[in-house]
Amino acid sequence: MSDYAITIDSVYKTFGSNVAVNDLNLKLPMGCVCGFLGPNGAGKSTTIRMIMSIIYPDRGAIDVLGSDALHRKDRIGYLPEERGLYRKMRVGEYLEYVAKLKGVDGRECQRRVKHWLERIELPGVIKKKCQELSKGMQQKVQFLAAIIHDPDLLILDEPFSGLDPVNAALLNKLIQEFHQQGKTVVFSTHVLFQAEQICDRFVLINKGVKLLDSTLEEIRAQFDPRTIMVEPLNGRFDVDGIAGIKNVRRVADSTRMEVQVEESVDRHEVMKRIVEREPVRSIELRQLSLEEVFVRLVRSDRGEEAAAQAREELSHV
Amino acid sequence: MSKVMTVALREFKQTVMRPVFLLAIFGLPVLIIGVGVLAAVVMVNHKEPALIGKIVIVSPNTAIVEAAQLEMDRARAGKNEPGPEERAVDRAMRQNPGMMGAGSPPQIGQRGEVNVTVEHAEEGADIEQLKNQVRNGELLGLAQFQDAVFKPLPKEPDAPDERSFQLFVNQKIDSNNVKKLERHLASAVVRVRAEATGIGGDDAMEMMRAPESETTRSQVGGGEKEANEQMHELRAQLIPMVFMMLIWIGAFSAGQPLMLSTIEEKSNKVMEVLLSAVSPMQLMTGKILGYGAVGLVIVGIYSSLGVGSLIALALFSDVVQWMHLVYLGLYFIMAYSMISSIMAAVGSAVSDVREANTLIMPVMMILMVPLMLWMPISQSPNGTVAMVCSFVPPAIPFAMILRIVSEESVPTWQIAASLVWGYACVVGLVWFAARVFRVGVLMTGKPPSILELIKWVRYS
Repeated sequence: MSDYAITIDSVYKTFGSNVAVNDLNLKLPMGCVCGFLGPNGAGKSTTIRMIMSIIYPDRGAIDVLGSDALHRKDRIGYLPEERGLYRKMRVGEYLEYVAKLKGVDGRECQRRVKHWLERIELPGVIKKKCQELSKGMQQKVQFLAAIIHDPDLLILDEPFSGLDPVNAALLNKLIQEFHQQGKTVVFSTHVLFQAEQICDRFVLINKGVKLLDSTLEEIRAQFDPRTIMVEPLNGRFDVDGIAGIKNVRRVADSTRMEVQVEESVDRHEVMKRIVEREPVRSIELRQLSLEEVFVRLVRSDRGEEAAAQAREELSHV
Repeated sequence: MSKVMTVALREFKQTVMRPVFLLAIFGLPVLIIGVGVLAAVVMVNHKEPALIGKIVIVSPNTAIVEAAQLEMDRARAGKNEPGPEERAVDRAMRQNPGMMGAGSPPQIGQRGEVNVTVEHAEEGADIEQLKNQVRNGELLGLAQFQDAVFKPLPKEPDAPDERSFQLFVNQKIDSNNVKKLERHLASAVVRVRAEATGIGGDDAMEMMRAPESETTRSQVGGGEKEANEQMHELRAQLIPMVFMMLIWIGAFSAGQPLMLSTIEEKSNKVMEVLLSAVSPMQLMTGKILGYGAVGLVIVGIYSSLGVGSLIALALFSDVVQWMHLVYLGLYFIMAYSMISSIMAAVGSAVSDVREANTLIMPVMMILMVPLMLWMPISQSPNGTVAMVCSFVPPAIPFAMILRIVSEESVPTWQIAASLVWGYACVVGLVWFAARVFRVGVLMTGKPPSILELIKWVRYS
C-alpha cells in the first residue's frame, strides 16, 4: 500500500481558454492534516474536484488511497464548498441515503445516524425536514454526511465558512479526532490561523500553480525573517558595535525594537550580545505567521520563478 | 449497481409517495370518469324543448299547406324519419347492444313534443305584419314558397336552381327545432312534387328511405368479416391515438420530474455531495431508472383503466391485440429513455425551469410532430409521412405505435428496423446526456447554448 494518501502527478486542467490547474505535482502522506490554501480562483476547488473524480484532468494522473478516486469514493469523505441538503427530506432519511450511497448497509446506517446526531448535539432532529433546521444545524448535518461512513480520507472545502465559534470549535475537535485515529484530512480554507492550529502540512496554490508544499516547521525555517524583536527595559537601546547587525528600527506605536541580522551571522550569538549590552524586558526571534507567508507569496506570484524570488526575498527580511 | 438502485429507489419514493402525485395519478382518472358519467347522465336525461305553435305559409300552391300539416302530424305521432345523427346512434345501438348494457337499447336524449298547426296566409296578407307576429312569439314561423320550388329540376345544367323556400323564425327557437321545421317543410315540398307527378306522397317518402348496407371487409390471411364502420374508425384512429397518448403521458410525466429534480439538486447545491459518492453516470442512470419506474406506474394505471374500459365495452378482443401491449412496453421504454436523457441533460445544464424551457423547445417541436400528424399517420400508416416519422428520433416510438396499432399492417422489417435504430439512438442520447450531465451539474450562471452543450461533450 502506498505511503501517500494523495499523489498528483503533472496534472493540467483547462476550462476553455482558462488554465485552472497548471502542471501540479503533489504528494500528501497518509495520516497528515493538510491545509490546502490559496486565494479565490486559485484552482483549489478544481483540484479537489479532480481528486474526487468529479471532473477529470486534461493531462496527468491522480492517485487516491492507492487507486483512482472513482474506486475509492466509499473511503473518502467530502464536504464541498457549495453544499446543500434536500430541503423536503427528513434529516435521518437524508443521512441514511448518503451513507447507503457510501456503501454502509441499512441497519448500520440507522445506528450511525443516531450515534452521530447525538454526538454533534442534534438528537431531536432525526425526523425533522432539512428545511426546518437553522443554518448552523444544517451545516452540522452536512458535515455528518461527509463522515457518516467513517472515511480514511476526509476532504473539506472551506469547512469553517459560516460557522459560529462554538460550532467551529466542535468541528475543529472532530477533525483532531480523525487525525488522532490516523486518518488523512485535507481542507481548504481562508481562515489561516485555524489552519495553523490544526494542520501539520500546507499546500499553497495560486493561478493553478503550486507555490508552497511544506510542514509548518519547514515553512518557518524556509521563511526565516532573520529579525530579532527586543523590548528594552528602560527605553534606552544602544547596540552600536555589535557585529552582524544590519539595521535597527523602532516598531511604530510601540516600545519594541526590530533588529535585522546579517545573513552570515548566528542570530543566537547576536541575541546573547544584546542581552549582555542592554537590560531587556523581552527578546525573541521573530517568526512570520502563515498569513504573512500566504500574502507575500500570493502578492509576488507570477509563476514558479516569481515564487522562488519571493521566498528568497522573505528569507532575507 | 447497488448505488444506482439506491438513487433509483430514492427518486421513485420521493415522487410516488408525495400526496400531489397520488392526487394527480388517481384524481385525474377519477375526474375523467366522473365527467364522462356526468355527460352520459345529462345526455340520457336531456329532453329537447317542445315545438308547439303555429306556422303560416305564404304560397301560390295551397297543396303545400296540407302536406306540411301532414308532416307535422306525423312528427307529433312520432312517425318521422330520424335525422342522420339519430340514425347513426340507433344503428350503433343495434349492432352493439352491450355498449349500453343488457336489454333494449335506450335512446340518447328524448325527442321533444311536436304540436304544430299549419295555416295558409290569406291572399294579399301583409308579410311584414306576419313577421312581426313571429317576432312577438305569436307565430312559430313564417314560410314563403315560390311556385318554382314545386317544379321538377331544370333541364339545363347551368341554369340557376331557384327551388328553395324562405323560413323566418323567432330568435328564441332552439336550433334543433328550427332544423325540424326545415326538414318537415322540405318533406312536405317533396310530397307535393310527388303528388303532382302522380306517384303519391306516401309512396315517394317510402322510396326516399335509404336502404341499410351490409358491408364486409377482407381480412388479413383471407376471409371476410362483417364491417362495422364505427368499430373501424375506433380501431383505425382512436385506439392508435390512445396508445400514443399513453406513451406520451407516461414518458413526459416521468421525464418532467426528472428534469425538475436535477434542477432542484443543482439549486439546493446537493449535487456535489452526491457526486462524491457516485459517478455522474451512476447518478443519471439511477435517476432515469427511478423516474422510469414512476412512468411505468403511470402507464400501468392509465392503461389498466383504458383496457378495463375496453373490456367493459366488450370490445377488447376485437380492438386490442396482446402483441400491441408488448409493443406498447417496448416503445414506452424507448420513448422514456430518449425523453429522460434529454430532460436529464437539460436539467443539469440550467439553473431554473425558465432556462430549461428555452433549451428544451427544439426537442419539443420534434416531439409535437407525431401529435400533429396523428390523423395522417393513422389514416395512412404506410404512407411517406408515417415512414419518415418512424425513423426520426425522438419521434420514432410515437409514430411507430400509431402505425402498428392502426388497421393496416406495417411490414415486419420496418418494425424491427425501427426498434434497432430507435434503441441505437437511445444509447447515443444517453451517452450524449451523460457527458453533458457530468459538466452541467457543476456549472452555474448563464445557461449554455446548443453549441456550448456540444463543447461540454468534448470537455468531458
